[in-house]
Amino acid sequence: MTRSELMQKLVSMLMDIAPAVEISPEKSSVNLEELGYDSLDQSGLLLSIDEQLGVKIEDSEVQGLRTLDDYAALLASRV
Amino acid sequence: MSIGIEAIAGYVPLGRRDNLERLEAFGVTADFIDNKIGVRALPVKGPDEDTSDLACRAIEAVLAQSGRARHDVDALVLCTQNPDGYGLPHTSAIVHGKLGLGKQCLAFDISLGCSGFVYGLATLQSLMEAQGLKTGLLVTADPYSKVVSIEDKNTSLLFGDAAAATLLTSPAEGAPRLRLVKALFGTDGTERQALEVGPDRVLRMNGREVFNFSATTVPTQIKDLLAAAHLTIADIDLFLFHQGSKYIVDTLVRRLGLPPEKVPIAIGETGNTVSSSIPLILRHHLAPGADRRILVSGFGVGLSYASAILEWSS
Repeated sequence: MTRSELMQKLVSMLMDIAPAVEISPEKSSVNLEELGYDSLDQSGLLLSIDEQLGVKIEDSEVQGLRTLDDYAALLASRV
Repeated sequence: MSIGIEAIAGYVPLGRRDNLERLEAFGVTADFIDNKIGVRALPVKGPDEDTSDLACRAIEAVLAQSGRARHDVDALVLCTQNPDGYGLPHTSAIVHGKLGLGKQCLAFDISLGCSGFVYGLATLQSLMEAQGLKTGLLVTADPYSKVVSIEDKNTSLLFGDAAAATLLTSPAEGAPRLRLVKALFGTDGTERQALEVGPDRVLRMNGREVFNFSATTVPTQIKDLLAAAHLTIADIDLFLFHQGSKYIVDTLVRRLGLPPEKVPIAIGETGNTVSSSIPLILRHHLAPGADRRILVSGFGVGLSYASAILEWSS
């Protein structure tokens, strides 16, 4: 999966979890909290990543995940 | 002899904790409170109220509502994990004594959290039918204010104190009853640490683990239950889910593809009342014919989960 495909996949997951929040690959460097996502949305995103990409992100890794770029960097070697 | 639900009454303590007054302390927004947690205010029991007192108030209400006398009660099953005192004697015996129920009345506790109503209903209905008992009470009373730290963002915005009393009787004695006709049960003890009280007697909740469990295991069980009963989503008039949070109920609606109008969310002024959350809503849907077939599902501590189909019968 290319980085672009991965980013599109993450955006699609977030649109499903929180349709009211505006998100696009162009906002990949913006803090997700600043965009309007919260801790519950993050739980939803982590579950979607597990179910759709087959990657289980550990609790110890979650704290450093603030932007979509962070997610893409972590997932790049695992998908 | 078939047994079913005749009446349900609740008791919600008058004490209140306002979540909107704690936004700054927890770094959350009013939008988060309203649209994710879904709880504006939490009922909190008084310092002089114990678990048995909450249970007694709910029982008194359901007996008054149904015109039943205390000596009519053959069975009392009480579901709690926050009993009076140190748990010995069992809280159902304390309730039995406080209310002066008859000595022929069996009384025991069930130790379960948010799945407790469905487990308790199946247990009591089956026991009454097997033993020919005519009048039984299932009481859920699990005041989490005993174990929640008000400084814990994960739990103190969520859990409210309440009790519910569900009266089970035989249809032969009167009007139609709402009867449990099919249930599935489950446990995943390997994930039990997701919700636990530690040696300091404070509740800890791993929100991510509880969410994952609620979003994956519960929908699977509900689909299995419908398949086992040869029913589809369209055949169910009402889905009553444990009110873990608004976000969890919304997630179940989304992942199961349910019509939102069939899935009440009633958590705003009570919070997550553990095993009482389902009966506190179900009490408003006890008119025969209005909701012919109801699916209830409770899930939480254990991790334990149970789902059941209720139908009216006479």
